[in-house]
Order: sequence, then C-alpha cells, then structure tokens
Amino acid sequence: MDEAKSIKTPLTRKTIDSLSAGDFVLLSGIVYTARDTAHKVLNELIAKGDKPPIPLKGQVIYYMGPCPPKPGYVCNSAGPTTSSRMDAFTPALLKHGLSGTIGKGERSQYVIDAMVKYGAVYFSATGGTAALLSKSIVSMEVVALADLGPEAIYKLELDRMPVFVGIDARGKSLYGNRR
Amino acid sequence: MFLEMNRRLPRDVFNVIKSAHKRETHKVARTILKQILDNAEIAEKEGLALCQDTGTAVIYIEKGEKVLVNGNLIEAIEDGVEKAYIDGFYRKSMVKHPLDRVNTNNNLPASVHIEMVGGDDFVIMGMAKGGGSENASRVYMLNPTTTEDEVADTVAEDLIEIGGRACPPLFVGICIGGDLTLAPSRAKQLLFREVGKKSGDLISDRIASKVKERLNRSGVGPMGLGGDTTCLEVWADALPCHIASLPVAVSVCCHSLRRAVVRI
Ligand code: SF4
Repeated sequence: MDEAKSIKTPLTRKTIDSLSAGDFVLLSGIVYTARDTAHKVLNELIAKGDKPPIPLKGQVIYYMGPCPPKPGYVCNSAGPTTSSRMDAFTPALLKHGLSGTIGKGERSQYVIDAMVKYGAVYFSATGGTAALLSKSIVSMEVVALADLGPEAIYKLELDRMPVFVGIDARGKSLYGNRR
Repeated sequence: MFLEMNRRLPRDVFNVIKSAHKRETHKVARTILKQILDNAEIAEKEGLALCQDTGTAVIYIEKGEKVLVNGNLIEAIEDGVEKAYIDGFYRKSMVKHPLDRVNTNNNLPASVHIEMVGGDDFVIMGMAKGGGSENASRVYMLNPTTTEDEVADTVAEDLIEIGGRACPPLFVGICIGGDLTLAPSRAKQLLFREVGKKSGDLISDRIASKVKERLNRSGVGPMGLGGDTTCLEVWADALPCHIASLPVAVSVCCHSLRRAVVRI
C-alpha cells in the first residue's frame, strides 16, 4: 500500500486531527494492553477517584492478550481482540485523556460520540495476523494485574506496527458502508 | 496435529485467500489480505502461532465399525492436545467454569465428537477454533414453511450484521435440518470440507452460493473495513428433520481456518 503515515505515541491533538478513516498507519512508541477484566478494573479505579496503574493522557490502549512467552522472542504471537467487548468501558477512559485504541471490528455509536467529544482515534489491526504483528513489538513488560496472565496490562514498545484508522476523531468510520 | 495446525494454514485456505487478494479492488482490503498471506508465511517459517487465539481444540472422529481401538481414546486425544499447546507456546484458552472463569491452563477439555460409521476407516479431524468467530455462530429454529430464499437471506443478513467482529473474510458451514444436537455439530463439521467441494444436495448448494454471493456483495470486506472479499467459502448440507421444525445452524470461522484431517 502506498503512503503509510508514520506516527508516534503519545498522540498529540495535531496528530489525532491529521488522521482520517482509511489511513494506513505505522505506529511506534509506547502502548498499553488491556482486555475485559483490565477494563473493568480501570473503570472501577476511575469511578472511585483513584489513580489508574497506567497513564491515560495521550496514550493508546491495545486490546490484546499474547500467547505465552516463547524463548528467544520479545513477544510471542500477539494480535487484536474484538473491540466491542470493551465499548461499555471506553468512554470513561476517553474522558480521562485516552487518545487511541487498537482492536478489531466495529464500535458502538456512543463510543464514536465520545471519541469525537474528547478527540481520539480507533485503529484496526488485522485479526489473525498475530505472527506478523508481533514483529513490531520491540519490548514488553507487565505493569499491572500480573496474575491475569495474557489478560494482564502490558507496556509495549512498538516499532512501526501496521494498523488502519477505522474511525477518526471526526467520527468518520470505515465500518457500516454496507449494501 | 495441533502443534502443526496452529502454525500452517491448510493449502486450500491459503490458496483461496491468495486468489481473493488478486481479485480484490479496494486498497485497504488488498493490504489486509496481503498481511494475512505474509502472516501465514512468517508463522510457518518461524514456527509461530498464526493467531494468538490458538483456539478450542475441536475434534471429530469417524470410527469405522471394523476398527478396534485399544485404550482410552479421549484420554489419548487430550494428552496430544495438551502437549501441543505447551510445546507450541500456544495460548491456553479454556476456563473450567463459564462463570468463575478460572483457566484450566492446559487448553483442555477438547470438544470431542465421535461418530460410528461403516467400513474400516478411522478418520480424525482436528480444528483450532477461535473464540471471535465462534461467538458469531448461531442456531435458528425457523418456521417449517420458510423458503429456500428466506433461509439464505436470514443467514446472510445476520452475517453481514456481525461485520468485522469475526475476522472476515469468513468461512461458513450451514446445516439445514436436523435438531438442536445435530444441526450445529454438522454445521461445524462442514468447515473440514475442501474449499470448492459441494454437498451434492442441490438445494443446500444453492443456499451456500447465495449466501456467499450476498456476503461478497455486502461491502463488509476484510476486518469489516470495506471491500469485495467478505466470505471465502460457504458449505451447506441438509439433514432430515421433524415435521414441525426447520433448524438452521451456522458455524462461522475466521479467515484463519486451522484444520487438518488424518485418515488411518
Ligand atoms: S476470529 Fe480467528 S483470526 Fe480473529 S482473533 Fe479469533 S481466532 Fe484469530
């Protein structure tokens, strides 16, 4: 594909606004993983007014739970999980500064509305290409909820991970152009 | 069997993705299909799992009546599955209780189905079935007066509605008829059929091609991001059923259809 946009996390408002649905993006920098349980925990902490274990401002969360560590590899196969399961928990995180999410599949309209309101993008990573995607992960460490194994919160450093802008900060979406 | 399966796409699956990539006209969709093909090559070369969701181990066995099995068949199968998921560094994706969600840590139990058939063949069919596409599978109990076109439309509309969640382009098995036990089991078993192979039942085959055509016209595209390729193959079959019923089971699999068949 031609003209991939290279961008780096944390995302600035300028970067966010420069992205449009359909863009092919090579994403570098720090991202955090969180799946169902981690989202529930983050939401509970925010609701109580406690500090979440990861920064949110300008950050990107990747909905992913990797295969167990394999000797000789920074990260074993790792790809996105279905984003809609995280929908209910997403607006609260966006409100606290989260600027991007990476997953697969459609988002609910209320998530899109919150993305527009707080300024955030949604990236689609290709499900079922976990061997390929894992090549872009240059470092990985558990930062919270270690006992959850693949569902723990990991801090990842990415080097040009290929993703698409599925929904941009103006609410334009590649989903739903159905015939 | 499961060690190899999670690293290497079956040739018919790889080839049908390859020809879809050649035909695809949307830019984003072409890139995604290319990523899927590249992923298959990396996974095979490096012995990495194709997808981090290495699935539930689904096993169908057809045991010829003349075949004698020594020892405990299910135990032997489960030992094999456990070893593959540990040796392969694959994700263990089974929880013991659906509501307390504690992981069994060995990817067991497997989902094992044994059928007695005539003859002296022993056939083992194994599939690593991911959760994302399993969640898109369903059973309908339709009115017995439902027409062929209505069946195809119902199935197709709902698959379009699922959109990108089940990692399209999809493979789909449809069983028309049977009952609540037989229909979903047969629908899933259809996913073992070679790409391009028909059932021989003309009505089922017409439904299969209608659903496939409808999906590929839908614009859902790879990962739901738009394109010509939403579905790679649909297999359908019919079973006898009760006069008052018309069950239709739809078993959905993502593009990463990891399956193998061994005949002994
Ligand atoms: S639906 Fe298939 S390709 Fe997608 S994440 Fe699940 S197993 Fe992997």
